[in-house]
Amino acid sequence: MTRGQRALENLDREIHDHLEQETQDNIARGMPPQEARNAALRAFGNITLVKENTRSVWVPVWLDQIIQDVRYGLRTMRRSPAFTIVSVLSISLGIGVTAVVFAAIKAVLIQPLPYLRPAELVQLRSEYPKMQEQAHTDWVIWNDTRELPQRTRTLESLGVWGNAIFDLAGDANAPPEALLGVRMTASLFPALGVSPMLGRNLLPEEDQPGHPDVMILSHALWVRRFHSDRSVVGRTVTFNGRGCLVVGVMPPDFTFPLRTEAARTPSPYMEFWAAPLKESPNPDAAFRAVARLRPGVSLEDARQDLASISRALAHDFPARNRDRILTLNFLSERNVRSAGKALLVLMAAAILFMLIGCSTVANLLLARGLTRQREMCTRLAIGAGRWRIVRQLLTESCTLALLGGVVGYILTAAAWKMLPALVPVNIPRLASARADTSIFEFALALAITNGVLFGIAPALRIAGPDHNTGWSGFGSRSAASGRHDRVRSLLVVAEVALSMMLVVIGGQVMVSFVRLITTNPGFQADRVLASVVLPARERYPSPEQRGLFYKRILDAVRLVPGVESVGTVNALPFSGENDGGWVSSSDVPDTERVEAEIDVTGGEYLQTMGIRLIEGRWFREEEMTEPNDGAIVNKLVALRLWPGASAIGQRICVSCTAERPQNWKRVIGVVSSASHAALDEPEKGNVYLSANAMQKAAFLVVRTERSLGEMEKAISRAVALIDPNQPVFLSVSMRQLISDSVADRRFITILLAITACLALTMAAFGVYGVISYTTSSRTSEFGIRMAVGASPRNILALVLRQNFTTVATGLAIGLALALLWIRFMGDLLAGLGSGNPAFIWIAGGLVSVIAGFACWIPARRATRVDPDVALRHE
Amino acid sequence: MSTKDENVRIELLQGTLDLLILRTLRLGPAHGHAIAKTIERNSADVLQVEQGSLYPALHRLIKRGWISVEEGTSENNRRAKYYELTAKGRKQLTLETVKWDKLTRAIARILRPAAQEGKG
Repeated sequence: MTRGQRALENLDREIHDHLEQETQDNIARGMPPQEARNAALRAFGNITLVKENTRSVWVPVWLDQIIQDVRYGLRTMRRSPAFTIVSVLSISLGIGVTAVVFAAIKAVLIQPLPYLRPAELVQLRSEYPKMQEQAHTDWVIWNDTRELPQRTRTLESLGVWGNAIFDLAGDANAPPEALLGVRMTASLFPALGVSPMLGRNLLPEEDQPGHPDVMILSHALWVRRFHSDRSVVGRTVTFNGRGCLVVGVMPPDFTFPLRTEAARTPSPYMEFWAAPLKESPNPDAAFRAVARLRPGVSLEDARQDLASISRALAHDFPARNRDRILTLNFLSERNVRSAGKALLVLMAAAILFMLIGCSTVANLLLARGLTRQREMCTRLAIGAGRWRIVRQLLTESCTLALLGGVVGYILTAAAWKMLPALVPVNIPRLASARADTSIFEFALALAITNGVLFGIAPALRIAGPDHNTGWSGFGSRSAASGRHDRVRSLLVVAEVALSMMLVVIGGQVMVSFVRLITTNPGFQADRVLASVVLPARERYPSPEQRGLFYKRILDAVRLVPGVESVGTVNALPFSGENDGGWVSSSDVPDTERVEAEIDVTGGEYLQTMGIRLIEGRWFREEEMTEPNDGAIVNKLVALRLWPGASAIGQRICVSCTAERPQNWKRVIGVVSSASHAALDEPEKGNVYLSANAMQKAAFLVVRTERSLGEMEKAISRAVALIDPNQPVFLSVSMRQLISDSVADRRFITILLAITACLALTMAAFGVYGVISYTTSSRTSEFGIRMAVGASPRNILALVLRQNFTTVATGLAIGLALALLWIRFMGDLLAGLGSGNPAFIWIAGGLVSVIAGFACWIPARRATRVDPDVALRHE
Repeated sequence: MSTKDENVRIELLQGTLDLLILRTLRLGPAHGHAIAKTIERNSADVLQVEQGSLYPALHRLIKRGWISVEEGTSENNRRAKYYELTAKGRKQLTLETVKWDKLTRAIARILRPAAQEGKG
């Protein structure tokens, strides 16, 4: 028995006792029993009303009525399962898609960074106001980080760090392994406001030169390689062939920095944080730096502060800081970049899709409303208020929507079970998106919004002022009023317009994505395997030793069966590594500089990559070991520096400045251009050098006919024969590297394409449903028309004309909105710009054809009407 | 005519029933029927209270925390619900009584200005 029932029973008893007592009193006053009873009842009043009034004190009336309406709604749903299934499916798809995107937005954009007071954290950055294009990555030089703390009035606790790759020595259980991590100053963790789960932070003196190596492990590495052994803290572990003291283990959810680039590294996440920044770092070496704004300082204040510090530094250190200014951005913003915009666009698309679902269900409700009009008329006739009926209908549609919301949430949860494995690592924190309670609440809130959105028009219609039609049209379905059709036409227009928008925008993005991935990178990516072999400086301290070691590797890999050619390079395209600079034809300041990627190549690197030789010759084998000034440039450099003349034999000054004037090279060859960082970057200069290639090599590239898996193993074996402690990692095809570089855009494109396809399907069914319903309700009209001589062709034309006008309006509005959107939204993500305008017409044509079919099929059916049957139709 | 007038029972003003219940309970806990009887008796049967309307009012007062309810035994040895004034209810009663007095005085002044002046 529920609490409510028990309370009612108590009230019953109380009333009964009351009446009993009053009757007894009356008898005592001398009334006969029957009369006494009647008098008691009279004095008491209407018992049912008393109970109802008392109940309304316990439970507010509106709540009571809602519960009633929900029960009634559920009963109605059970009675028409087809309608319920179609509606719930439409709603749940809309809510599901929206909630999936919302979960992503929450993880990437809303969730604060997992550091102390993350809104105060900023990342420093260098910019060259005189150059057109600024670097993608944020960097400052070591000297800046030494000068800044003494000069700033807006920043506090500056932390400096750089990526590092350490070799962890192998043991009986595990092979040697290269680990990706961070080298940092002891001030980094205090700046972030984090501390280890076990052990301690680095001490300030531990990042000073000459101090023994110390490091903090990531939780994942601690579990994987040290079996969660707490005693590892305080122990010395061999890294890079040297002892390194483990002082702490970070908690499992800690990571820094967040991953923003697709670069292939030994692991996707940082596995250690180590000090020191080795020997006293080169003052010109590039590092990354985060800092905290002092309380009450705005970003703008801090930028102005840095600008004036930049001027002072340019005065004090002209060679280092001339033409370069320091600036900063919020750390959170630097972590999101363009992904934020893409996710918001996805959200917009999801909401449009949800609206299509809403209009589909609204149409279904309208159609069903006709059959329920008699029920409503009866209710109105026996005294229900119009508002009460609207409320009942809205409660019903919200019940339906909530059901859809729950199913939508289940879909979202399922999607996010699967999606983390597919999300690109270069949208930070996307993989941590989950369907949690807040997503559930979001889905329910969406459901209520949906319920009101699709329920309000039908509810107002059904409870509308001309409810008399319900009676006058008794038994005649063709009595659908004109206004009814107008609402329905509006919904059809909306559905068609929304789906048109989604298909055009989705298709647009898809086409530009396809164009992006089919962009020629300038080299032959197929059948080229790239591996990273980084000789640790601790084990190979001198450049000569590293050079000799790499030469032995190169020679050994050349002998591996199936290898066609091998090369080495210091910075491989699409690996995340680059070595940017510029070249000029003279060392006079202010002569034309061409920005260029300057790579040092060994072996047959250029041939292996499939870069074409246009003029001159390749490097010779001896040029990579002997000092020489040979350089190979791409045709862009040749054209810009020596227009109309041959580049061969010309002298170029590589990254020359007033302080470093004499870096002269001589051009021996001209080659085709190759992209380095991204498929969508504009053509840039490429300069390839050969001197000391073996000492600078980091990547090994191999062209082969054999399967890449076999080749990877063969290369690892060849390296292990030379040095068993040397890890080989990455080992991936160049094709894969290129593909990874667009992973974020692929993810967004796929989600958008799925949404557009669903939208098209749902809109097609929605339009078809409405038109076939309205057409079939006109069966008897068609019967009369045919009886008086209309041909099937006339009927077909009539139906098509009437319906396609509506559909065409939707198509036109949708196309116009889509074009506006494309015009004003600009690039969705770098490289996903405006696509082929021809495609917009193809997409528009596709939607038109499908919408045409949705009109044509019911129209066809109308022509098959047998006039005799039609006239008896109802 | 005047005698007839006096025999007419007056219907309660909105909200005054609550006040009457509170006042009745100041004398001590009582069950529903007893409250109804007391009100009728004390008003010399002038006030017409439909006995049933007592119950929604009682539950409303419980909800506001002005009275509490307890299971007890009635004079004829039956289980019954006894309603009792709470401290909050007692305070409310004082407040309402003051308000009521003010109201009636004000209305009386408007209705019988001459009488007031005559007295003064």
